[in-house]
Amino acid sequence: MNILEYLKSKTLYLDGGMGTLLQAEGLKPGEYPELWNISHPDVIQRIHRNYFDAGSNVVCTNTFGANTLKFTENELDEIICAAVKNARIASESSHSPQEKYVALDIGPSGKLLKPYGDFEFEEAVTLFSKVVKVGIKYGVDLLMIETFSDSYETKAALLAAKENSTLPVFVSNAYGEDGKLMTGASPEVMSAMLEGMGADAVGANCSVGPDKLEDVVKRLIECSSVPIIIKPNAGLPTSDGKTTTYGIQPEEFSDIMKKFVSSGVRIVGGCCGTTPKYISALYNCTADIVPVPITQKNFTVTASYTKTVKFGNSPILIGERINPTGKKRFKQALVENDMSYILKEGISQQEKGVQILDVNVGIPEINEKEMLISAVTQLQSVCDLPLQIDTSSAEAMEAALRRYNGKAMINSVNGKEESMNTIFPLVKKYGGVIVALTLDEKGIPETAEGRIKIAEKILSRAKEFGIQKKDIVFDTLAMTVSADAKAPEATLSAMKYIKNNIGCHTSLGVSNISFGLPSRDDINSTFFIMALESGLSAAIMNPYSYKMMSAYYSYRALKCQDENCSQYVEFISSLADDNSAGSSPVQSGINPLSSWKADFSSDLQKAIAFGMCEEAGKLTAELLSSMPPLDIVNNEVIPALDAVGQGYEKKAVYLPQLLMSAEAAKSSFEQIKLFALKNRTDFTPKCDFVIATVHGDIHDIGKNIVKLLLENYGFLVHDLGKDVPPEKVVNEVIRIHAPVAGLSALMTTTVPSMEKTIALLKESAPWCKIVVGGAVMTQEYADKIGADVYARDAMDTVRYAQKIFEEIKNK
Amino acid sequence: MSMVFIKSFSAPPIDRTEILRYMGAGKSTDIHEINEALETCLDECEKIDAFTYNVCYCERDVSVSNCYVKTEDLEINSLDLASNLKDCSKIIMFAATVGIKIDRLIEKYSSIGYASKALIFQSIGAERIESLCDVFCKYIKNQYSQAPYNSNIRPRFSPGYGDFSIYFQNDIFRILDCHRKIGLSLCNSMMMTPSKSVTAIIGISKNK
Repeated sequence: MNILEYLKSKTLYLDGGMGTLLQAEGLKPGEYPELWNISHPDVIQRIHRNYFDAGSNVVCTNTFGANTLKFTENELDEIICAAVKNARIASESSHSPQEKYVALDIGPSGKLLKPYGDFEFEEAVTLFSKVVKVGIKYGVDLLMIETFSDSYETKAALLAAKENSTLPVFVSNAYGEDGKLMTGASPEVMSAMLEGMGADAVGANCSVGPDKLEDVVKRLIECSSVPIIIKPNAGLPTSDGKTTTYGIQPEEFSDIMKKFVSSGVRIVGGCCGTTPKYISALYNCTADIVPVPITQKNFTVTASYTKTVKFGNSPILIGERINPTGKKRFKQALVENDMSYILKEGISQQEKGVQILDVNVGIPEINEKEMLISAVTQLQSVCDLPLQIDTSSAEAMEAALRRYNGKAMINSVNGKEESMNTIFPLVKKYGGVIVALTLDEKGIPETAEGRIKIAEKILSRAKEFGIQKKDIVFDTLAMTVSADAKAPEATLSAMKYIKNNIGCHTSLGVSNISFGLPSRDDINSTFFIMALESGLSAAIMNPYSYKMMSAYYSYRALKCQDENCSQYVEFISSLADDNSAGSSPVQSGINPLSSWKADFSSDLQKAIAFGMCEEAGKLTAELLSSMPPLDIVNNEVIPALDAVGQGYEKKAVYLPQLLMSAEAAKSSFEQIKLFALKNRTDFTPKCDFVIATVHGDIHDIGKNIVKLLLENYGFLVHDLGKDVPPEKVVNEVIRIHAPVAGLSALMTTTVPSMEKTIALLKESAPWCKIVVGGAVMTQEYADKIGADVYARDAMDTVRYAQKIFEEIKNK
Repeated sequence: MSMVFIKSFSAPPIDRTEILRYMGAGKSTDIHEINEALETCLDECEKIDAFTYNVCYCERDVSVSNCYVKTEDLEINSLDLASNLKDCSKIIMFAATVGIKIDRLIEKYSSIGYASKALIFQSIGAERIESLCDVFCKYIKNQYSQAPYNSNIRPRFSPGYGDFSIYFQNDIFRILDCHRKIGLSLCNSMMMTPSKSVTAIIGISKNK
């Protein structure tokens, strides 16, 4: 019987621990257990058979660490071949009468994926694909992805499983005592992501004993629509100095597991420290329990890598600001590949209170697919909100969905056949909540009825693709009221019908309504409230708009969604904070640089020197009405920075103060950039500077400090990020003919890749001067690897860059 | 006894002077601006419950000659380590981490140009992991000062110190199974992720 059929009516028993039993059989610490499939097949077969005899329906092959990071492809083939054979022999030789299955066990790679580790997502997919392919070749019944402590790596493994097989896939994660994965995902996040991608069962194993899993079990049952797996450890090992034992004995183990089965867990077994005795006890005390049926949960849920956002009564705000439409400064950031500008836009919207970020980076001048991947992955390294991926390019959409960590919002599909045929397969494969626009080949129907008809068509086509209703959110399209007075009514009544009669959630780009009208915020916020009353679930909106935010908080207070109106009150008092911030005079309070005396000729210089960001921005904006941008830079910003830099060198100013001052200078620069864009003033940077942390090096705080200072001194910094391969540095230097490049390395182990980068630069871009720095770097090292200059800190780099610039200017 | 043990600790007290030292702010606690920024960052850590305090470790019998350290599953050629472990009959090998959230905070502020905050979080993380190691070493000291051991412990010694090659990280990770036990991974460059993590060896001897 197919295992999924079996699961429909029965509780499925998995096996218990392998590693602990192998150690008892003589496996040495640090020795690879997978090799025992070949060297000790009798032992492996006996352990598997004992599990079958104890009542296990499924044994997992002894292949937990079998992958090409540890073994060659030939070894991998031999190991998995032997492992499957061992499990099959055990299955045939056990006389126990239950249905028996062999699962290909797939454990984590042991590496952490980028951005926090050095393992590429696609490398991980390839790694697991190899394991899956070999497993399929030798004939397993299902795939068991287990003990993953990172959501992103879990996604890579599940993707590999889905792309290379049609077998059932069970996915089980290692939750800590805090009920989260090591990288932060909650059970709800994992359930949303894995079910969205088509996992046949989800659950928890390893890390803790069953006593510590009660909360995880409860939450998984509440949110999952597929069978739940629970396979805990026998507690933690303890030692009295002579013998080592696991904390939880078979009887206690099975008592707790019995509760789990009674409450709805359908797939049970044990992990580290458990033995056939545990499985036997587990089987005996749960075999009589009638399995609890699995119910479909009809929640609409989107997820980041740590949190979910559930559609419901309380309106959801989707920040619209990561979008170049009508924003010169944003376009400039895209063209200059200024990722930090985009990230900041994300973080500040989060601070304003949005729950989801819309991400649109499409402009004709750039490669949208590459930019969207960068934006999505980098936003996910600094911001834990779910993202709504917004692009009209299917290719970019797929690339971004693939790399997204969680269950994304997808913006958008519409009633056109072509759109549905392109987008639905992506939703099916990668999971996601999709925004469906009620328009089709004939355009946007004027009437509500027309839009409802399209919605119904979209739903029925989605069903054919296997996409559930709960994963579709309808946008009935806000049209400009100044062009058609009846437009709002059509939008709202279609929305009302879809929410109440079709039972789907709704989303709306609110601001379109006011196009062409003065004081758009007034119209937008009123329309927003009307829409909420008509059943709007989520609004794509501008969180910097006071009126929109005030409408949101007021509405929730009035709708019984804000206990004691406390969030409303908090919102109002945050406005008061905003108003007072930055208004304090520069001279007030204690002089933060009290240990250091310097003269400043203006308030702006003081604001920068004392690290007052808002004040510096404000003063710059004021000054721009009377002084050319370049004069502000040369007469205000740079003298202030120079003075602080000198103070730092004299040890009168500390590093944090130097950095605060640099941040204040940056906010001054931001105003200058905005002004230059608005007034088309020519404001050319000094010269290009390519900067990177070398290949293998995954920390870049030092590099980012250097970048900040260089920008403040007027250089156009091309930041390639961290862990950058030599070729990428060379290509960028050649592309912009950069006169100078800066490389950073933190560890002795990455100096060779710095050396390689320098050699390649000298060969292919001999005009480019190379400055090196970083924790491990010394003058001696720098000379040895052929750098032009060694910079001991950020100011040193700035001085060198200025020297290069002077040389170019004087040529 | 080849088993790897896991131990979680509660948060050790915060040593602000240490954090300031890591920040390059000397010992000066009198600069208002810096103190205020530090407190803001500490609050942010607390708000998101930024740290876990997990250690995995194992005990091994060891034989030490003048530049050679040997256990049943590890051979290390290092004069410095050998002299640190002189007269030891056992070692504790451990890996400790305070988790990945602090890396996210550092990345967040570093990538948007808030370098001062990035520096402060970096320094808080450094102080946290060192404090965790101190607490763990104290715990081991307590255990081993009692019967049946009645022993003393040596200062912890990490790969990369002196001539103890950083590449022994590979062996430590293999033996302690760090990824599975405490979610710690090793990069090809021998850096650890989460970054605020430490691996080290503690000697145990009957002599001081």
